[in-house]
Formats: sequence, structure tokens, C-alpha cells
Amino acid sequence: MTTQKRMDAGLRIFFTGVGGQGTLLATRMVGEAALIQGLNVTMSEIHGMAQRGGVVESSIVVGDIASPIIADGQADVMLAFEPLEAIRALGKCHAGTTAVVNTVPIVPFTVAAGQGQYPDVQDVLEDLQESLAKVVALDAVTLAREAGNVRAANMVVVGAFAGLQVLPVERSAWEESVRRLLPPKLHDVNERAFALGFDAGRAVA
Amino acid sequence: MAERKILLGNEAMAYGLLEAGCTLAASYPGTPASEIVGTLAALKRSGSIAMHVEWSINEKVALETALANSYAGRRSAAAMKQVGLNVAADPFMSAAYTGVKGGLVVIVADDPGPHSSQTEQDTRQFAMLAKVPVLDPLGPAHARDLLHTAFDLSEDYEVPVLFRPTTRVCHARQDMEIRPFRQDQPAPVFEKDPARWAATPKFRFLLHKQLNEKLDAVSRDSRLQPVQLNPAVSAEKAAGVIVASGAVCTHASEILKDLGLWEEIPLYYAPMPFPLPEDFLTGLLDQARRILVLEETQPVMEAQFRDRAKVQGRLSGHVPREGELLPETVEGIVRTFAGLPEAAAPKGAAAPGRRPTLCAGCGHRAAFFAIRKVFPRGIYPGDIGCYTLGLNLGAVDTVLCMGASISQAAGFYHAFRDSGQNSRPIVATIGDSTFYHAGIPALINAVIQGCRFVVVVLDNATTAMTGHQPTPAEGNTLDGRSVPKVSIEDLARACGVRHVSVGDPYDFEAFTGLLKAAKEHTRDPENGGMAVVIARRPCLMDRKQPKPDRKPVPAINDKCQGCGFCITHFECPALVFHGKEEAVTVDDVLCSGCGVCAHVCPHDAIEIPSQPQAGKESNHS
Repeated sequence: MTTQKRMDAGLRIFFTGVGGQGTLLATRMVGEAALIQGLNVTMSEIHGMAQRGGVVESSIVVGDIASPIIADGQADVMLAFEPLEAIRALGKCHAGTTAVVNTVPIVPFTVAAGQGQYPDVQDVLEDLQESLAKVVALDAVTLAREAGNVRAANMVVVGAFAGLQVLPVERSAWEESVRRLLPPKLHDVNERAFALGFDAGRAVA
Repeated sequence: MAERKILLGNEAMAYGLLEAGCTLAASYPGTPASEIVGTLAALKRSGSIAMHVEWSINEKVALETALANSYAGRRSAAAMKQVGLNVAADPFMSAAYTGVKGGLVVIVADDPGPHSSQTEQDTRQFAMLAKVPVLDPLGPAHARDLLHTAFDLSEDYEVPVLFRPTTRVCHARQDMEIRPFRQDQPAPVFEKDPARWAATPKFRFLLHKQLNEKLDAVSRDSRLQPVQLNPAVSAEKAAGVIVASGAVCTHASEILKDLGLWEEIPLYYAPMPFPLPEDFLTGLLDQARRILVLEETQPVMEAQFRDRAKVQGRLSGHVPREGELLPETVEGIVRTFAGLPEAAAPKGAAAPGRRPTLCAGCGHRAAFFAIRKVFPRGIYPGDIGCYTLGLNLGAVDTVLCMGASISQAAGFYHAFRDSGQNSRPIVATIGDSTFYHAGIPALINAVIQGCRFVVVVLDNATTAMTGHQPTPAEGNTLDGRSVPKVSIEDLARACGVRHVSVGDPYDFEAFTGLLKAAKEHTRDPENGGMAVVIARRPCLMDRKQPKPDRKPVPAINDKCQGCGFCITHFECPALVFHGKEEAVTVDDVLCSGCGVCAHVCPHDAIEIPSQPQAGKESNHS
């Protein structure tokens, strides 16, 4: 959309992934970190059937904006947990958007049933790079495995976003957020996954 | 400084109920309303609150229970999703006439979109039908505050109050200050008044008259008048005004600011979209040149303007007649209203669709595959829950509303029997919670009408889709008291079904055997009749259930030709397709080790190794 949004009013962060990837937990993690930092937060998510392997989209608006829904062309940041979903959500972004994208595909059943083809991931990333200001692409699954659990890939993506320093939140607030939202037995592995993502993000910040 | 927390809209409403001194909350779970009573239930389980909290058997029972608590002078709430109010419509309509004593707030969450519902119905129209006031909150923090007003209003006028959040309020999160809960619980007082509480039709007429008078007074109540959010702008001087309610109003104020129209177009927020005060409606018609009404999902405020010559909305065609009013939609409408050029279309990108599916290892998938195998020519009426996703497997042909699988199966049975075709097998599938909710009367009816079909109760020991609320089989109240467990098999027998069996769908051969026996029973000319098969396998996602024994992750042998049969007919997320003629692989992270897929491959390409593998990771982050 060509409308000049009031960028100074706040930051709009759009999340997209596949049900089961921990997209909503990642969303809460970012929101909680912003709260710990003392920023105003509104968030939006969709529950229910989509969580069973469908597309899961959520959003966070940080700052002086009341509506938690991110309209087309309004996302300042996109966190995509799956490359096909990054492409699907491209309409939410604008030319100045920063994106963090997990490059590991989850092929939908519709492809197996002959309805459409899964695009080449390299082409997906090139499309994103052409349209957006900055794209951080990373294999979050491999990094999560390195951290000790492939299911912590969502924390790798959040960590990379934190490392980019787009959101003015200190490292300690991020770490506190992990501890608040997860049971103690999961702290270590998720903190390691976050740290691996953080380093990857900071390297290209 | 007071503690601040990010609360989900539904959590915020739960806190609002506690702050306002509500003493009883009853609900049946349904997206997007589930976490309201879910939050209260968690507090109840931990012993932190005195309020009586219950997951009722269905919405009708929830509302009737809450209403009587209100008759006893105590603040009460019932919560449900919009189609839940259809189930509770009978007590709701009548409660408007009897009125209340302690405040009664009926929270009904609408789902414009729809995102997870059968309809986009607008509960505010139910308020008009029943003649009760309805409040439409802007967002989570506002919903919490507005609940206080809802209780005051209900008590002041002795009328039930509808409280209508939408998905975007229920499932938004917002940071807010935490406030103390009201601790005093008033003693119950029930004053007998048969002319009111047990009114016969003659008295009902009088109650109707009183209700009309209450409603007139409510419409003028100063606490709930429409407010102009940008009061510096004059309605008389502006080219037009906007009237909005609910989440759409929040979008509208952002958009007016973005488009530089905040100082140009007056924006009115109506916290109570019905009944709108007569003075407001006539005053606006006098002053404004044009009036744009933004509301979800049906024209409730718009319809209350008696002269609509200058009113634009869903009735006039200026606002789409269906669907959620997303910010981009609202922006388009406001641009047209303000005479601004259309916005450029967003850069779209085509991507193959992605649909939800049952989880890897879900017992429902095994049951559906067995049903398809035993009844290949069957008609499969389905029901509401996770297992609606059996439609991906070709095992669900109809989905209507809670409990309809069994009554629709009966309808199909009569249709085919009357045409002389007795051979078309019919298999209804219904979840355990849905069976308790609305399946029992339908099953009794099928028995007494002489139907012959198979009902498969998919019993995963929980209400899975909405977040694992307990069922009557659990045998505990939320505060930990032991109560009788209500058994599905005993219920089925008590409904008059003579053939009732129970099996584990993971035990594939034995389970198909049960289905075959049930099929025989429906065809036995002498002693046959209705058959119920209970497919019992606890939900894998329910952390309250014991972890099942894992079989080793299956191995794909060289017989796999990549035919895709297991993908299209079984659709387990742990089986990964790589294209025709490429062997399928198993995602060992997603695989739950249920072992059922070994029964699926027509080429025997899926094998379960005999040696168990080492334990796998179990982080659910």
C-alpha cells in the first residue's frame, strides 16, 4: 500500500509459519521481551484449526499504535519460520522491511496431491531479497539441532531477530523473556538456540 | 509501580470477571472463546479463587446454570462462541423476559472471517432478537474494563447483558496493569416470585412489556452513550461522519490518523451498538451530511437508523456484506468515503495452499483409515472437532453443527431405505466431547426410529481442538473433588444400542475387526440395529495423558515407488513426499511411533523395525 504509515509511532512485526513450529510461542517471546524493556505492546494471533499444520500468522505492534492487526504493506519486520510462508506473506511487507527467514521447507500435502509445486528455496530467497531492504536467511533447524533440540528452531529465528537490534531490547530482557515463558527444564536448550540465532543476526546487523 | 502483564483478550476478560465479583462462570469451550473460562479454570485448580467455575456439558446448560445463580442474587457469567449461543438460544430468549437479580453477563465471541467457525453470524443480532443490550469492546484492556459496566448495567436494570468480543479482541494480547480481584461473595438470596421466575403466558406478556421499558431506559444510560473519539471536529462542518464499534473502531482510528483525516472526519465509538439511543440516531441524521457505519459482521447499528438515505454500510453496499473488516478493507472504504484515490494493490505472491491436518500419530487418522477400508462405499457424516479434518482423508462427507453427525446419518439412512436401497453403508463419526454435548438425543432418536448405521465415537479423552478441556469421563471437578465418571459405552447402551464395542485404533487389525462386526450387526435382519464403536486412543498433545509406548520409527524399504498413496490416503505429517518415483522418507522428529502406517502401504514398503530405537528428544517449544 502506498499510504505513508506513521513509522515513528511504532514497529510492526509480522510472524508466519506452519502449525507446530512454535510460531505463537515465538510471538509471545518477542512481546514479553518488549514488555520487560518497558515498551507498549499489542499482539494478535489466530488459534484453532490452523494450529494443526495450517498457516499460522501472528503480529506484534510495539509503540503507540492501538490496532494489533498488520495490514498489507505495513510490516516493518517479517519473521518467517518457513520459506514458502515468507513468499505467501510478502504482501504484508514494504520496500523497507527487514526479514528473518528459516530456509528449511515444510512441503504441504497439496503439493503431494499434485496441486501446485513447491518453489526452489534459492528462488524464494532471491525474490525476497529483491523486494525487501534486508533478508537474513538461516538454517534454523541445523542451528537448533546444534543447540540440542530441532524443535527450538523458533528460538533461533527469534534470536537472529534480537541480534539484528531492530527492536531496542537489551540482551538481558530477551533472556528473561525465555525464562518467563518456558518451564525450567527447557531453559538451557532454548537459551543456546537463542544465542546461536543471536550471533547469526548480530553478524549481519 | 503496579505489576504489568501481557494478557490475552480472553485472559483479560477472565480477570475482569474476577475484579467485578462474579461468583459463577460456566462455559463450553469453543474458539475464539475458550481461554475465558480456561483462565478461570486454571486459577480454580490452583486454589486461588472462590468462584464456581465449570466446563459445562454444553452451552444451554452453562447459561441455565449461570442464570439461576443470578436469580439467587449473585453475579454470574456464561461464556461461549457464537454458534454456542445457537445451542443456548432457548434459555437466552426466555431469560430476557424473566430478567435477573445478580448481574448476568453472557460473553459470546464472534468470529468474523470466519477463522474457526461454521458461520459469521453477528451475535449483536441475537441481542436485538432477544431485546437485551449488547456491548462491543475495542480490545483486551477495554474488554476488561467494560465488563465492570456490563455487570452494573445488568443489575441496575435486572436484565441479562450480552458481551460480544470478536476474534481480534479475544486473541489479541495487550500489556496492562494487574488489579486486585474482588473477594467478597454475597450470600445467596432467592425470593420466590412465581409470576416472574415461573411465568405462564399471561405473565409473559407483562414481562415482555417490562422488558421493552427496560430497554428504552438502557438505551439512554449515560455510561454507554456513543462517544466522539476526536471531539475537536464538528459533525456539522465535516463532509461525513463515521460510526464504529468493536475492533473495527480501533482500525478506523489508526487509518484516519494515517490518512491525515483525524482532524477532518468525526469518529464515533458506540460501546453499546444495541440499543442505540434515539437522540444519537436522530441527532446524527440532522447534523451529518453522510454517515459511514463500520461494524462486524452484520448491519446492526446501520439498521437502527430509520432514514438511511445518507447512511452507508453493509445494507447500502458500501461495506462488503460478508467477511472480516481487516485494516486494508477499512482503508479502502474510508478512502472512498473521503474521496481519496484508491491505494495501490499490495505485491501478491502465489504459493501452493497449505491446509491443516491431523497431528502425526493421531488416533483419529488410524480410525478414519480403518473406516475407509471397511466401508469403502460409505456415506460419512462427520462432526465438529479436530476430527473434522477426516475430510482430508475422504472419511468425512458432511459437517454441520455439534452432534449433527448422528442425526444426519439417520436422515441418510431414511433417504436410502425409502428408495429401496438398503445397501449403502453409513458411518457417523463424532468426538467424545461432542457426543456428550449433543450426540446423545440424536442417538436415542436413531434407535427409536429403527435406524441401522454405525456410530464411531472418536474418544481421545479430551476436548482437543479447543485446548484440552476435560470431558465428563474425567471424574473430577476443577477444584479436585471426585465425582462419578460418565462412561460413553454405558451411555450408548442406555440409549438403547445393543451392539457397543471399544477398541484402540492403533491396534489396526483388531479395530477393523470391530468395525466389521458392527457392520454385520446393522445388517442382521433378526437382531440387528444401531451399532456404536468407540475408538479409544488418548490425544498425543494432551500432557495430562500418560505417554504411550513408542514403536520404532518405521523404515521405508526398496518397494517404495513414490506412488503417494500413503500421503494422499493417510496424510501423516511424518511421511515426507519427494515426488513420484522418489521414495517417501520418515521425519523422525515428527513421527510419534504409532506404527499404524505399516498397515497403509499397498506395496508393503513401510516396515516397523523390531528393535526399539533410542529415546528421542521431547522439547515442545
